Amino acid sequence: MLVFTRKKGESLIIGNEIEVTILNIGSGSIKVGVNAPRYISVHRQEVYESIKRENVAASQSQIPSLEVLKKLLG
Amino acid sequence: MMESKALTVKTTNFGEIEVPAENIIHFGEGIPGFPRIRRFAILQFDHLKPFQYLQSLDDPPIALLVVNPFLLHPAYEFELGDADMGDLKTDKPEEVSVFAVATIPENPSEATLNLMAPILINLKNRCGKQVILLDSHYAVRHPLFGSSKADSAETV
Repeated sequence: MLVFTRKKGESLIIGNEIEVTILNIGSGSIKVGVNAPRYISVHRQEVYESIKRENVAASQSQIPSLEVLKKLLG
Repeated sequence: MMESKALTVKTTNFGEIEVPAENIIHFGEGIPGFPRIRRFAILQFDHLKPFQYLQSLDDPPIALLVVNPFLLHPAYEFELGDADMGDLKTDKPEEVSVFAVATIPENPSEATLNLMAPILINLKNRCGKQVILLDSHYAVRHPLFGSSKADSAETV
């Protein structure tokens, strides 16, 4: 992991097109701005992680039996 | 004579299947958790309707149970940004098919639907993407039928 120390208002440039700026520093949290091309998605890590976890859980589920389907849809 | 191109895939759940080339859906960045899976197909089984399976055609050969979320939650709605429409290579919402991943645990009355990250497929050009909705009040584990039906569900 690359580690940088930034002051409020300072930025990082990732690749040739992504800029991450520290907008505000508060007690306990900071405000971060991201400038990136529209084709690059940016998400909070915990949100992304929960989608990832759910996909993995779904991929490990059993095929629902007729009985289960009846209970679900009946 | 037209050469019919079909892909033969060994799946985990359904044995060996053949997928015609025109049924292969391309996910440019895979999906969260499986970024290397670039090709999927939708498998339909009469006895599972309205559920279908999103079957991976690459490794690992996983399959996700999916369903049209509007069937179970008619009021479901979301907005797609330009970036998402760009990835799907369309500006016409009617060309997009929407699926939500269903997770059915041991106790089926606890089944959930991922309404926070629907899977969108452009039927015309066979592009697909799992879109994480920003500022969405929908849950990753939304009760399959919504709270009212869950309350009145029969115990298994």
